[in-house]
Amino acid sequence: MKRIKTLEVRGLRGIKRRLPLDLDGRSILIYGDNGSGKSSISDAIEWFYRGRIEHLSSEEIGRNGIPALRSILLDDADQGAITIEYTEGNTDSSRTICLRKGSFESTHSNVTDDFRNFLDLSNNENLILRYRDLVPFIIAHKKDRLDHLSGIIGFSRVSEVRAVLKQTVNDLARGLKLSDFDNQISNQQQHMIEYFGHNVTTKRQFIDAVNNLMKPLGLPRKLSSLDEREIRAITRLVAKPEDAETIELQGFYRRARDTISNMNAPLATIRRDYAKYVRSFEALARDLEKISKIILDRLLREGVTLLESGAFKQDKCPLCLQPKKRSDLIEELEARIQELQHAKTEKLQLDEARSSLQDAIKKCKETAGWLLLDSHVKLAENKKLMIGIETLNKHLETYLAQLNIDIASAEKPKPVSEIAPKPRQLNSIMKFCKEKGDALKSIAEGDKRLEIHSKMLLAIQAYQQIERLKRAKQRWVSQLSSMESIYDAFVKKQSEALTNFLDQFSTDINELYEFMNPDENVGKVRLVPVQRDDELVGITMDVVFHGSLVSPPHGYLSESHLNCLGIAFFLTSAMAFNKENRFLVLDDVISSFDSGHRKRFADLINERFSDYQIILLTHEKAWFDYMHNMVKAKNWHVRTVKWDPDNGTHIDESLETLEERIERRIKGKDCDGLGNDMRRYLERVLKQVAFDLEVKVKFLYNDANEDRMCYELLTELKGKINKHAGQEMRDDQTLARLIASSFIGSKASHDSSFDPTIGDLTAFWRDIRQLERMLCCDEESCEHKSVSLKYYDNVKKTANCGCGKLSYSWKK
Amino acid sequence: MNSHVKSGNETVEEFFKGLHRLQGVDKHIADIVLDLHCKGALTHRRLANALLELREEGDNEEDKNA
Repeated sequence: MKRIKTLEVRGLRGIKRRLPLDLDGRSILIYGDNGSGKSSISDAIEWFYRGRIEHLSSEEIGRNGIPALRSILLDDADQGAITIEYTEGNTDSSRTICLRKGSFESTHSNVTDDFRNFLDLSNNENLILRYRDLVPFIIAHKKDRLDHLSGIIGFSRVSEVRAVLKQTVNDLARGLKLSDFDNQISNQQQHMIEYFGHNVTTKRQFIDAVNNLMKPLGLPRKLSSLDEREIRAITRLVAKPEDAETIELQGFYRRARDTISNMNAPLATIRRDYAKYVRSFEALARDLEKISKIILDRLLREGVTLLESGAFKQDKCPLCLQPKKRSDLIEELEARIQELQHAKTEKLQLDEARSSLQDAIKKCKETAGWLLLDSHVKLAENKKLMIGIETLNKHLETYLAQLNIDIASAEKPKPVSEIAPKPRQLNSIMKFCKEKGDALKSIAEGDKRLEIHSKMLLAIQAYQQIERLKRAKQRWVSQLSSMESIYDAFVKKQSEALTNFLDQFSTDINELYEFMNPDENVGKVRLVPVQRDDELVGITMDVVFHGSLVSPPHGYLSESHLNCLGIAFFLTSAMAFNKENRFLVLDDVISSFDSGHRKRFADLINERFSDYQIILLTHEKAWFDYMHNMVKAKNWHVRTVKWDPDNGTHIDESLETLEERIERRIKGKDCDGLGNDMRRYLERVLKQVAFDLEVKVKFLYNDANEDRMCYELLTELKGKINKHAGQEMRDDQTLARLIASSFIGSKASHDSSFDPTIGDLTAFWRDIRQLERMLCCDEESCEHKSVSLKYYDNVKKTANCGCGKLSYSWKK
Repeated sequence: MNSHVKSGNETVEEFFKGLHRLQGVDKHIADIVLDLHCKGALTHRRLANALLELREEGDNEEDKNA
């Protein structure tokens, strides 16, 4: 897993110039006052990984928070950038942002598939925790909790498969219901009762019934099986050639009547579902915002298709022609499409309802089509029947046309009352067929042979139809039963996997929470899946509160306990899900903690996360000092960040580093910024000396107190020395020289017409070092190097450094 | 905790590995579902079509025998 080797940010948020952090995979503790811009570091890291900054993303600021990302301190031509080098792999990259023709462009320098893959895999990792992110999961709705965790552990894939299985089960159940096999079988059985005078349930009974029917004809042989050849042989014995057409027509009218009768149930379902569809359509069409999002979604998808097809190869937006890298444009379009998904839920449901309706209508239309293809329907005497079926077909076509109306168009589908076929239309067709069939039957009744022949053939057809229907039903039932078994087993598997995960996850959260809250009557945190019917609908969070199991926690726990729970959740998530990155950014997460919780959080990080690279940012000075002391021996980096209008957010370097840079610049005769560095060095020395010698300065509020000018400190120090110090110190001219030349390094020096040469700056530096030698001990082992009244010798009346090597007469 | 966490994909794969061992599932249907899953094509529409084809095959077989 990767740690950060070097991190450099410039021109982002509060950071104006280079802010380099050479971490070499080690942890870092960063202190900065409120407003010093330390969170610019976490914002930049978030942007590097996600291309957006969640807490800045809003309608006012702009999508992804990008407009607020690039430092406003930059000139238009300057780029903002974050560069991360890792301890392993070839995923080092710089992400830059620049302003071009009024819009922001951002690019990653690493365009390899490895890097893209790394970013994709990192996308679900828990890398950054801010104070504001502590409790949202804890106080979230149970469904949002489920969505959140499902998203992280990739349960969306499980949900997709489950939805496919469920939808298929529902389809099969609906299809089985629509086919109405039982009713169809019952119709055929009715026919047999009509022909035989009783029902038959077995093949044997059927053969006996046919033989009984034929008995009056005194035929030389009986029907012995339902084999086609046997049926043909018997039919030949019974049939008269002139009867064939009458029997065929009888069979046709019966089929037509059965077909129309069987369409009753599906047509009623179509009628009901279509009415529901129209209501949903109208409700969605009234929501203009959603409609505009649906239209926008289409446009964006078209855009992605266009760009991916390679039909538009230039690095520009095809619509506005603004320069834009093609891959970035695709990435942004996909991100926006993703954002619109939520608004599309109702549209997707509507599409699903339409598709299901279209299937049912097409099936009815197909059945009606088969009837129209029958040559008997074209007979002149059946004109009324043909018109009836064609009218029914037109109704079905109208349904389909109405379903094709686009939600984004101004048109609306017609109400069901205007387009659905009326029950009387179907009844009229059935009545026609019955009357025709009955008429033929009455003709046959006068001719015994014809009557028996007709009954026998129609009964055989009915029997065969029953057998076919039974087998077709069996195929549906078998498919439904198999799919139900698959679906049930899948739901069980999903539930087991989630429960196992939540149990383990709860154990780990609990362990971390109780580490931060030992010996308290609050704990035993448990995440529990909530099911309704067989659906997972959410995750609740239980906690034992003074002996009672309560839920949700935010109804009972104090703010700091809730925050502890939030931290425990984040850290557990990081342990569980982070597979690519071995670092965590914790940005001011202990703000609401009391001192006890702060200490225990520091212990937790120190003891349990020592194998992680931690980037810990805080504005709490006391906690920083505690943590600083703790991590000193752990090889952590420790830095302070500050902000000023010239430099923006920058690392407040240690005196040693500053000194090295000043010496290097003097040697290289590099005047750029040298005066500024010398001023900062002098300020730091003077602040320590003024503190130790109790130099009094004008009262200023809070941060302004830290912002003292060298000149003020020097003159007040000089006054103090003149009043209290002995002759030796009073006679030293270093202070006087510094007062005279302090303007060289003053903050306002760049506004002055005076342009110091390297000679001026070298002399200034010599005076600073002389002052340092005068007031600060050079012994390595000295515990307190600056001369201080804390080490005042009341006998000798001297102010001393910690080891006593530096000692000056001093009258209190 | 890394080793204890089973991702959604792992859960799905594990399920399909044991599909043929499920009781009460017709082998042909298990074959269809598994085949679509292995091809990365397990969608509602494709599964519904495959099941429809299977039913129609049954009808055609009967007609042929008749």
